[in-house]
Amino acid sequence: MFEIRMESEGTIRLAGRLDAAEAERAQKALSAVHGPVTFDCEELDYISSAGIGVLIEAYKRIRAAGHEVRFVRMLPRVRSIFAYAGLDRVLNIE
Amino acid sequence: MVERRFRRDFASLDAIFTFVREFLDSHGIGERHAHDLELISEELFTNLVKYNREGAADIAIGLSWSRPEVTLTLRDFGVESWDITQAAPVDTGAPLERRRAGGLGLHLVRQIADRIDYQYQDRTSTITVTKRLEP
Repeated sequence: MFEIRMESEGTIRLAGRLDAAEAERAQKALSAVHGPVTFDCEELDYISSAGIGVLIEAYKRIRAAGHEVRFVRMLPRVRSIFAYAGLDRVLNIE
Repeated sequence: MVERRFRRDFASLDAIFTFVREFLDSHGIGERHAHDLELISEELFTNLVKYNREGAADIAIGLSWSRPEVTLTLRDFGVESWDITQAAPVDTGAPLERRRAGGLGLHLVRQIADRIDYQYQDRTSTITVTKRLEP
């Protein structure tokens, strides 16, 4: 199960498992996100390539509009997946 | 080896993850290994679902354990041959704007697994992945 929760202004909490079965729903939810955003990943337990694709799509769109995107509090096992993909060097992961 | 069949649909992923965890638990293998095996299972299963749409209704997933290696097998029936071990590598050093869509899933499997084999016979594709589990 995957959840996206809009928290304080500009902060979005990602929680659960962002896998291929959840990717389409996640993409629809993230399409409504504009402006600078911090993705709080403390509760993001798992991500696959499908989930990464959704986040990258949102990242590129928001950045193209001139806004910052940050990923914070990522679990090591999730961060390692971004590292395998070479994305830890291009995304703002704190 | 234990084997189970799963409907060719992304909605099968939860059942696949449960299958993996139950297997690990039955062999006293720590849950901390579940993440990598679930990821490998998902990436290969969804790859077959996406790219072998003409295949049979179910895909068979098998698991076996021979300390310290776990072996994961996926069998896809009634399909054309497509050797995933020959898939083009992903340039993880390329900037986002230049990266092509697709291929990341297999790239992740290559990073995590120790060995990936592909066989094709009688219109059945068999992908076999082994991973050494450190204690």
